[in-house]
Amino acid sequence: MLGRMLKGVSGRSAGKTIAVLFALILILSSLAVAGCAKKGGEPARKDTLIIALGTNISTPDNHYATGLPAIGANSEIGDVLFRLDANGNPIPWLAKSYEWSADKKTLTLTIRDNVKMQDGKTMTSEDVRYSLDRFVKYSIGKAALSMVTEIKAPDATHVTLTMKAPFDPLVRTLAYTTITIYSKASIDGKSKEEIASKNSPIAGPGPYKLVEFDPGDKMVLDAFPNYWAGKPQFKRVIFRMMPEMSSRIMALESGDVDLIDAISPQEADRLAKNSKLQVLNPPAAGIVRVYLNTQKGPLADKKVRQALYYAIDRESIVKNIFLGKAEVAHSFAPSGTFGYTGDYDVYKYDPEKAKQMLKDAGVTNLKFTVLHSPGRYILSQEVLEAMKADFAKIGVDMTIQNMEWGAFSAAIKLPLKDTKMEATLNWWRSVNGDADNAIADYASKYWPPGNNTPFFKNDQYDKLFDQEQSEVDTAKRGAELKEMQKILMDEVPAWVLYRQPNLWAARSDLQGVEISALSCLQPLYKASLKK
Amino acid sequence: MAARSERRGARWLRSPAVRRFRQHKAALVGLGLIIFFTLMAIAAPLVAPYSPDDANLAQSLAAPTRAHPFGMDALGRDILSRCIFGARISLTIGLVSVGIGTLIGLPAGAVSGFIGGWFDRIVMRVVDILLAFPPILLAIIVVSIFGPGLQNAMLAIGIAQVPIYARLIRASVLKVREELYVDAARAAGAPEWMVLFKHVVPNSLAPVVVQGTLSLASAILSAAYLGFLGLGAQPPTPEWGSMLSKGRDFLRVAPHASIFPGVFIMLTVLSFNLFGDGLRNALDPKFTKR
Amino acid sequence: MLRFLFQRLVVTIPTLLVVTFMVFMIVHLIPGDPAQILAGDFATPQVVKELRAEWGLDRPLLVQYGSYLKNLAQGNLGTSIASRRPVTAEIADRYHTTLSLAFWGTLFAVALGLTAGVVAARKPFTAWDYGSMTVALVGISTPVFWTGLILILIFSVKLGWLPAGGTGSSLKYLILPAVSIGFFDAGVVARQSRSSLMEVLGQDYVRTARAKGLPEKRVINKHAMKNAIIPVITIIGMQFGRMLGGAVLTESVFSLPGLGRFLIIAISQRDYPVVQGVCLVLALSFVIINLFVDLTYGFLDPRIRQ
Repeated sequence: MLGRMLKGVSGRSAGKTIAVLFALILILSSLAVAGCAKKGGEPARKDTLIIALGTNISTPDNHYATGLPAIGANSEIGDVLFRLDANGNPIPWLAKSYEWSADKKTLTLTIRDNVKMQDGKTMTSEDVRYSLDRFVKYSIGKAALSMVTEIKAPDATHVTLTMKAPFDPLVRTLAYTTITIYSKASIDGKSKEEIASKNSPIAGPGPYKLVEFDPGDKMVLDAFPNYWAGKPQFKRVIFRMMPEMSSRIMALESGDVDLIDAISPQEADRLAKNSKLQVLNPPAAGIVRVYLNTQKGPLADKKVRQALYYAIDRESIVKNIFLGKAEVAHSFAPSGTFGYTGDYDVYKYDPEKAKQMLKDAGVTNLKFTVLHSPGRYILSQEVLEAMKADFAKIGVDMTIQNMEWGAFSAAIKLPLKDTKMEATLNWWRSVNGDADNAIADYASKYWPPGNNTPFFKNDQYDKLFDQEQSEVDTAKRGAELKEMQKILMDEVPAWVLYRQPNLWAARSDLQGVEISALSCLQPLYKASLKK
Repeated sequence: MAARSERRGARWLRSPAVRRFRQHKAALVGLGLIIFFTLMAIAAPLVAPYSPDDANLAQSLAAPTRAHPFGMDALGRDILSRCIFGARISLTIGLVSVGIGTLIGLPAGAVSGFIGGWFDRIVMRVVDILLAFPPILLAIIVVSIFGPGLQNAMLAIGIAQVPIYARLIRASVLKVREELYVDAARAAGAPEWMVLFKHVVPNSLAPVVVQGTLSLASAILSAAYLGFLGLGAQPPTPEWGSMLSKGRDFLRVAPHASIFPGVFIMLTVLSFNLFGDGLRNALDPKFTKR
Repeated sequence: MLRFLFQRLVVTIPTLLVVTFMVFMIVHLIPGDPAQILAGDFATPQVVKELRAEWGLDRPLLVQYGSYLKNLAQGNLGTSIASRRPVTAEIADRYHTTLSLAFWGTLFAVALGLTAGVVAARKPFTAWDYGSMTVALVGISTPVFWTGLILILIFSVKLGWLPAGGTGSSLKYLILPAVSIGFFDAGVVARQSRSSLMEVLGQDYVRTARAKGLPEKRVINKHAMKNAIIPVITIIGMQFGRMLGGAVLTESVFSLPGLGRFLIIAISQRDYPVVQGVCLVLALSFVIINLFVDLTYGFLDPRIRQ
């Protein structure tokens, strides 16, 4: 039959042959397109909030999700035990209150009463215990709760977390968005594939429940009217995945979407002039820094690291590349975290001083290479190129080595004997509003393949760290954190550069949207359009 | 001695092929542009008004002025100077990767199409495999074996083009080998390899010349994309493709940052295409004006 | 005929096996560790070790390949490391987007490119020729993301006629992406068809046809086109194939969940099962396209028939 068809074709002219071939492909392709039928009963556009994120949401399940904006999106389904206020202090959320045991090794949470969940169940301590347990056992981010050895639900309203040694910031850590509480009944006993599927059964106590998850495309959520903190205003929230910044912006300008994340400072300035739009820049918890190999290579000498720090014009980077929308970082912890101090940043831009210090250290013709994976952090390539120019002014030659992300991640995890890393640009944050989380990795026991990328080793720091980690007295712990930051700023295992901008844009009548310092959307139940 | 060589040169210039090429005005324009770009690349330090690496952050993304006719990039570097220096890198990328593609693809495809049989089947299966290989994966392999950098990006782009040339020339050869003049050459006792390279290949070249001149542009743009993934030229190397793709994020606020490198790429492609047309006309009398 | 098709499909099996083996070895041997990448900030050595064990990455490579083949024989492409969904489901979700994009893009490219090419070849070295070829060159040297962003700016932001990206049940979501990806290929098709057609128009049999007094239209359609189209078909086939896995920029600019973008993300995360699965599906698609192209040669020019 096929033969006859094709023979028939061959008799005709070439143009017709192609036409027939294409008709064939057309039929095949339209069959494929027909697969996606439209769903009925959609709410009106004005009752729908459409958000475009640059990050891919790979799964609706926060215990397996990666990428902070994606985690924020997923946290509309589940919800968290605590939230952090603007100053990084924990606000009781699903947990109504907490109590420490006398030895500060056991934390008892009291669960909020009568919290309804999207699968019709009422949240109990067992749901919380199950979710925490699942997080600790399986989550990619489980290291955040690695100190917890036992989780129990002694009765219907209490959950206890037990640790080997005291860990003071635990309550703040529980506010980390990825530690999401779900309904046990909705996921227990179901396969991973089913939970990550298009029509995932996953349900939680959050303000919006999952309707449909289309990988790489969108996630559709409908209002959960019984949300414990208040009835959501929008009937539907749609998260769309739009990786290209310019496309997100144009989708916002054309009214296709209402809220977008991750825009550049340059575009933020342009959009701010549009009366139909607004730009949001909530404080960010992430700091961009250049890690320096403190054990071998040209930067192993502390004097050199200090000298070069003076040669970086951070003010100019923030002012000209970020148009003032980023912030010069003065410490290894983000400002606003518990225990933060910016008092030890003496490295005000001074190329003459830098030159002199290099001379005093007897260093000439200094050359080094910085590893970088482009496209991860906004404008990072421009920042490195600006630094290269700054260093050139004092006769130092910095080579920028761009690497593909997978290879980059492998290169910075090599142990000291194998590493060729001299310097590398990276980003670090505090997930729990506590300086501890931002600077803990400089303990020498975390050398690569751990997260102590600069191979930093300082006995005094290690001692302080051990003391701080098991400190029972919060005030004393704060003082120890400041002391640790002082050591870091003196030893310079990294050039701390700037606090990332956290730029979002929205239609101007959108209100009630809260965004965490980690670029996670907070529960959107208050979000609405101004009348 | 001198007179003889001059006469020989003159005769060379009067040969029918060169005459046909010279008649082709557009081709001369193309050649002129190529020479212009090449000279610009060679003399970049003399021609460029500023150093391509001189950054002045305070002038980030400044619009074109008389002093800086193409404006400034995100780091406050003169885009005109970067475009001029970029010619060095970008022309090399285009020519080398197309060169690699044709040098491997052409003989493989031609022989395969000409002799057919098991050899053809094997070559075409290899081509299938290569075609099925995502170019990005290919680039990552090349870079992880030879290390990152521009040369290896060119190698990756070139290899990715091999199957295209191989299939293209094979298709042409399949058609040409059935022509009467090929049979005639065989009947006259020409050995097979001579038939292939003297009669079949020259008559099959037209699509390859077109593809080759077109691939220059995609090679330059691919290099930019690989650079974006950290697999290509290392910053702050001025290179048209990466200037263009870096400018993408500023398309609305500072269009000049990507338009000018884009125009340079376009002109290069244009010139090679015009030149390619002329070349083919010169080599093949079938293309003369009717 | 059917026997030929069958033979061709049988010989593709070793090709596909070679592809799976090469891709498998390569993705596992290039530097990068999915456990480390996925765990990201929390990649403590302990976590990485556990994840590697969970995914079976701590076994010898050949053992892993063996179990991969075993699963493959049962039609199981494994589970994505990043999303924990079956790779077959992940690919199925995206293949139709990619296929429709490639189809409409190619359709646009052929419609525009062939017209321009024929016009140019019929009136060579005239304003028509230069005009069409200029359009073709602009198409080729304009980066896809430029075309895409400018189309969005005009048709979505300024005019509000078409969506700025994403997917939907109606074809209007595919118009801009198809035009922007097809614009490049239209240039290639136009140049290639002009060149081929001009070459053929110089041949003796065309002169003969003309001398017989056949109308020009008939000469082109009946005699010249059939011979000129072969390299053009080759190019169309290859570009169509490339669009399936290589439309990354178009997919990004128009926020389309296609295979190209998916593959790039998978490569950067070293999501081995996904990379292997996508490469296999792409290889299979290429083989089928090439088969079509080869068949077309045979029908256009019976002398080529094997």
